[in-house]
Amino acid sequence: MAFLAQQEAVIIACTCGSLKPVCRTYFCRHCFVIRCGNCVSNEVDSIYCAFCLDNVTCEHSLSVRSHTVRETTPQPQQPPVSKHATPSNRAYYLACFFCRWTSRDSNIPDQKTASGSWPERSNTHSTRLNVLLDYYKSIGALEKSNINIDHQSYMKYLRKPTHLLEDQFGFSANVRKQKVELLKKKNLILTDPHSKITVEGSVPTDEIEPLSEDFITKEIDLLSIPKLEQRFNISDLQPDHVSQLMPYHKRLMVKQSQRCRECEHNVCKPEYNPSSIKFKIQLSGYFCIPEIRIISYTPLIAGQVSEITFKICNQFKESTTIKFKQLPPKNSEEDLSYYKTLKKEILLTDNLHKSTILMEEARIQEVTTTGQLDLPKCELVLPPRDDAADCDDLADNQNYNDDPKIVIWRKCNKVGVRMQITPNPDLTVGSMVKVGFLLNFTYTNTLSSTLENKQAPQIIPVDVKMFIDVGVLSDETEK
Amino acid sequence: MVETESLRNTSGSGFKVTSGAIVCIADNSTDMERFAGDVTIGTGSVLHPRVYISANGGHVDIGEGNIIEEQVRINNRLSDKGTMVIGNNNVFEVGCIIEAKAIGDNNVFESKCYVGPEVTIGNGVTVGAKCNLTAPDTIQDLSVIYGENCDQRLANDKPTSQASQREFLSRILPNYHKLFKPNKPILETAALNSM
Amino acid sequence: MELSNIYYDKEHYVETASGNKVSRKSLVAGAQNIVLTGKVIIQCDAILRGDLANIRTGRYCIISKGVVIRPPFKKFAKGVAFFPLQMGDHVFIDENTVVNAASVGSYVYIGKNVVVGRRSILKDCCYIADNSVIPPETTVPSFTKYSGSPAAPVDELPECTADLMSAYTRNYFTHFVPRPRGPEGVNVWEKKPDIQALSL
Repeated sequence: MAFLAQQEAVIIACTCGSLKPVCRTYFCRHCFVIRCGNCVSNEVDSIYCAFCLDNVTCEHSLSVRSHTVRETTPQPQQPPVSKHATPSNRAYYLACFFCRWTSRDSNIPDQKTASGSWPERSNTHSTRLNVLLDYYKSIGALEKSNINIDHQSYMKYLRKPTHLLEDQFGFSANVRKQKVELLKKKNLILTDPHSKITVEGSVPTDEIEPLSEDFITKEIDLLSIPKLEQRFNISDLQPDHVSQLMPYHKRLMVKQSQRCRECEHNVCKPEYNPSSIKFKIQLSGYFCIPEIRIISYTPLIAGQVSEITFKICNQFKESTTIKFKQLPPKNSEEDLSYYKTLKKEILLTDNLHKSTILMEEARIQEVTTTGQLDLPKCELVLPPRDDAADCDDLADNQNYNDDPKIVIWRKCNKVGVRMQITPNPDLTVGSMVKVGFLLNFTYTNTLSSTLENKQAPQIIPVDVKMFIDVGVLSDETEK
Repeated sequence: MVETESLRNTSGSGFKVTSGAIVCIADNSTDMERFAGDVTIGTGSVLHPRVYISANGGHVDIGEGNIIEEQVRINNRLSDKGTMVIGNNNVFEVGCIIEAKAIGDNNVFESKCYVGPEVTIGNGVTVGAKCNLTAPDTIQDLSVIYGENCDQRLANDKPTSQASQREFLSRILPNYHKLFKPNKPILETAALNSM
Repeated sequence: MELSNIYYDKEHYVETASGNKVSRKSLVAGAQNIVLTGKVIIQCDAILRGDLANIRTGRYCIISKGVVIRPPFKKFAKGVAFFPLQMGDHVFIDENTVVNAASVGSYVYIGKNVVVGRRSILKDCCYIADNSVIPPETTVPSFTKYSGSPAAPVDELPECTADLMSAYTRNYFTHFVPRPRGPEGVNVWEKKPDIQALSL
């Protein structure tokens, strides 16, 4: 019944070679190519706290927020926490509603204000960490100073707020490339950032504190010893008693947009607001590629013909014509031409500001089919998606010249198709019958900016490799 | 009066409700089959509709001021046919199954937890949602059982009192439900729920 | 796999003018405090506690067998108050789940045997895996899948979740049909004319 699991029976081969359910793919309306999470570039749009859903919009508030986030969600054992006020003196302490831990258990003093500054625990290695941090900052400052040489043009390509493009590890791939281009154009020579500050490497030691004498003989009180997981969560303290457990920082969540790596247009861009479920750009494969679902099938027996029915549904706002083709033989030229190589930007390690573009070969995930599907020769026309027609029971106009042997019913943008399936004769009972075919559908491009002829929409045929887990092979006698 | 007698027949002779306890009866009269055998319910306890108490294996003695929410099953399955004693001011949240040997005071049993027949619960214990206690054990006072692996820790103080919730429920529930009252016919005051 | 028909006995269900299908074996307490906007299915043994506070569901909510929908309470210095429970459109709640949330958004999927803690907030487009426990006062953000006890985010949902959920609940509603008269449990293939009935 799991609705997401239902999607897993039908798998699409992305042009980068990975196998994905249709709802996890994208369709780039500029390159007319199927993309998936593995072959788009992901960009962080906004950062937010999962508990208060507060949008963290600038670097300053990010640092402020990281304090408050810690305050609202501390815990030695994970779950969420809220503030409790004792009415008499209005002091606040933290409490977990899951395990009933309170900040009083760890001797953290109560605070006067609800969002009060909860004490930050000190780290024994803080001096060392500060040295490393200073080093890191000096590198960052050097990078910045080099860029400031041409501040105006720098700001030009960073019209968006910079914190969204730059994280503490540098720029996202797309921006980085623009930056490199710019630096090349301006002939900027970067000084070596490593030259200014140097840090000493850590030195190992042989001195270890001896264990106390009663270490082995002492009776263990399991309730007072934290679990390994709890100790690892506070790795700098490694507490050995539950009263020393401290709240730890929660991770923030991000909203990200996806960009086609080939043409660099967005394939998916959500609204920034963390509680919004709307999209500015939404080119999920679910809306473009005809969706195929199994309705039912007769028992599958090795080497024998069974009947299977599919529901094919067009979610796109234009009508589409679909054709079924057999999969080309493996590793043939035709088969390999389905997959596309991808541009990939590689940063050279010796210089932070130089990059090369490599072509990344498709990494093809092999699928072995274990059955043959007798594909219909005819074309099927699927009308566009029409949400209003869903409510109208009479809207069926049956003006399609369908072969009644293949098309069993039609309703709005959906069609029921009957096919013959023959599992391989050497298949053992109980193993999965997997079939594959090439679905050819027409994509109607109405995006005027990409049209050669501005008047007529362009109709592009697109091939999709589909693999379907039909079901398990039954025993012949069960029939 | 006819209805009262039929209730007695289905619920067994030993179903005793102390005055002051609130026992809701859901819409259909067969609901009284939920109580089987010798059950005593103490003063101030609130039983939501669709609570199942089976005392077929032995007496079930529920103390004062308990809140028992819907879908809770309390089942005496003690091997010695002894009395299952539940103390005072406990909260049994939706869908928990209680077969414990004995239960003290001020405990909270969260939703869908299970306490097996070999377990004795002390006072001020919290058994977390979906935690199962099956091994023979005595859970010490102020324990908290929580999480996927039923981890145990000790809390500093007992769970917060549910007296105010009990008070609220005993005010609001009679407006919506038929109540079971000892030695009286079922109250028809209820603006009976529906469908 | 496409959903196959789910049959119910006509005499055990009440159908309202707005298309709600409510089992007579469910317990809808305090019906005057409950608003079912339309095309809502409430299956047998489900419990809706409208007597505690108002419950409002959107369209195409499916409340499976044994589900408990219970407005949450909050304790104040002067006593206790139960808060109304809001539920969006296209919400699917699987069997034996307890929902104590303050609000449930639209396009939400809650699995089997889940405990949704008091006053937690489930935003639009989220997925709670089977057997999870959402601790009290948790917020589950959009496009996340939560699992475990205490539940933690384990996965992201696809961007088209809203459409998937709405297709799923609509599909469920159309396939939730009265049991036809006569013997049932016959393989669809043995009575071919019925294939039409499977269509959407």
